[in-house]
Amino acid sequence: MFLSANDIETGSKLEADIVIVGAGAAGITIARQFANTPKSVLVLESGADHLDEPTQALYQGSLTGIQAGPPLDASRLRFFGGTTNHWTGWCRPLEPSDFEHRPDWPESGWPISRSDLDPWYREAAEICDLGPVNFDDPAFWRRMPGGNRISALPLDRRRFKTAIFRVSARPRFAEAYRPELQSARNVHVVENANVMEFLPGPGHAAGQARKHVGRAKVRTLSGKTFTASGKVFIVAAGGIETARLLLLSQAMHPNGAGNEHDLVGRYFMDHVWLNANCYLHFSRPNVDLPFYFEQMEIADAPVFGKVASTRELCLKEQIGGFGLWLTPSGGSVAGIESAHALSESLAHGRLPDHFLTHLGNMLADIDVLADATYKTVFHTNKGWLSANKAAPVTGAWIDLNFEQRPSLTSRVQLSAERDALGQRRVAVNWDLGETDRRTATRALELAAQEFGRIGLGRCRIDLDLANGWPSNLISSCHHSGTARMSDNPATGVVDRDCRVHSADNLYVAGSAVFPTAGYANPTFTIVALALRLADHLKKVIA
Amino acid sequence: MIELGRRSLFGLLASSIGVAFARWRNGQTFDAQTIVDALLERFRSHDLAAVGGVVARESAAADPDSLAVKLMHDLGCDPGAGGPQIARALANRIRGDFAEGRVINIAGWRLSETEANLAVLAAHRYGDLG
Repeated sequence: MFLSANDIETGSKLEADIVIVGAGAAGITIARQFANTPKSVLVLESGADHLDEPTQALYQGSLTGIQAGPPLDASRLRFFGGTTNHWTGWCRPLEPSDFEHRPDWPESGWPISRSDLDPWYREAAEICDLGPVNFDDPAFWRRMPGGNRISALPLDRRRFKTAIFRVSARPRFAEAYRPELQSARNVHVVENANVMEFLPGPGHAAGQARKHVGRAKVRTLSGKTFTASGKVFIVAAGGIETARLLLLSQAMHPNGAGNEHDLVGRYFMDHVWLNANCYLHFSRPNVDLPFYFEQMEIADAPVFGKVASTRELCLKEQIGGFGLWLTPSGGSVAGIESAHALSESLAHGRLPDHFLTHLGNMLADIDVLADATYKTVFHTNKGWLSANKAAPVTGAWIDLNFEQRPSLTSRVQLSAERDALGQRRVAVNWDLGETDRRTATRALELAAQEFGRIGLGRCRIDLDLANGWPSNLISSCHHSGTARMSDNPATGVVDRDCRVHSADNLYVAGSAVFPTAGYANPTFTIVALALRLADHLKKVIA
Repeated sequence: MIELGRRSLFGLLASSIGVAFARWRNGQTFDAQTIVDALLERFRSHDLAAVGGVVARESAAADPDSLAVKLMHDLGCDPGAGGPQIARALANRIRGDFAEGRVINIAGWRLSETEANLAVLAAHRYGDLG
């Protein structure tokens, strides 16, 4: 059942067994697990069923670190369905090794293993409507109807692998699951409901070591205020907003709920995306690698591969995991190279040498530039130019995305600015360190060596980090790590069950709990973790 | 660093090596200097020579004769080796260069050392050492 918080009288006291804050991939998944059960569920969603500017503006904040990617009120969507409303649907689990501690990264290691999560990954595949799945074996897909064009690159298995992504046929959780929640009698989704903070239950003052959330304080943009109480509370508000809400809950603890060890908001991570800093010129014309170049429609859903690092390589090089995206290129590359040169120079406040030549190159290759821009904006390998078979493929632009090493200094904090509800906004200091610089540079070098070794072609690398990160660095908007999972309260905000260490009924769902983020897109793991949390809660509140 | 003619460099390298391979595969036998000539005869390009010039200036291996001998030594070929043997050795050597990180950065392009040495020979052959 859906209702608007604007229709709830001020001073009301809502009650449910389970209170979920946020209706994105995680929140909707958990709510569905309890639909049509004896447990009452209350989902508090800030937005309604469509994007509303005043509500979306609540996401505004400042970027104080790396200035990359869209602003904070564009990288996330604040209405029912959350960020799945613009999710590309790319699914791949984290690697088994992503869960393991690596000796060169003391802050790494999940308290659970990949095999612990595998049962819920399988269930997540059904929820995301992936159909047949295999994430590591191109031969599996080659045997499928429509897969006969697949040929896997003969990569050195100790160093590289073909990482396979399946694309969800049902990425819009709002469209897919709204009717189900609408009809569930025990589930109430309250839209336009902004949770302001968590308040401790009776007898659980801020000074106590072990706390208990009693109520969530809710407010609407129209000025209505009410509270919601429950047996358990789940924050499922994304990697940034989850930290914000915990930090705002200072009645739970002066530093914020769960923040006894100053960890909430720290270890903020994203997947770094470097767009076209490497050009691979093929050794022969018209190389056709459809599995790497495009999304192939197999068994009613798209699937594609990218070249990714192995853990062995990452440990040897002491770098993060990474993936390489090949975008086939036909014709001239001069325009794109000139665009890079121009962009870099302008970012440093000067015109480049040979400015007019660069400008001429860009104008001459305007179609190629438009194609590349389209692919970058929409994160797709399919542009209109690459689909044009008349343009012979002579090479490929390589995009690099990689795992950020978790760092204390990369963090989400509350700023002094306030939103329309009077809440402090966030200041996000996305901070990349020396390991990340090494990952970026070594990943492209290693790729050039591997593509040379297998005779695919030769690479030209245009990445110079001497003066900082290049202007074409993009945030993947995969915000994570701000309420990291650990068995030790001194090193993590939540435990292996995603429960906040210092509160007996407060849980976090979503990528905020990731201690490390690998290189794979996070939503598939978010759904799997949400399913696991739901199963845990079924036992807890049985 | 010199900016190369980006569209021609690899076409030239690939075509030159391809031409040499084709001749070797036809069973012809060359001495070291003949190999150099065979490799270079079809790409009389100032672009490639310029590349080689960059490498030559930046490396100690500036003497073309010793470089040719070194190349043959690296390939593990006798001076009288037949074409197919040299072709295989050259391909293996280049593959090994990349596998073991023997890679040279020339104006952004990552070439194997062997490829770069071929370019140096080209530079000497065409007198374009800058």
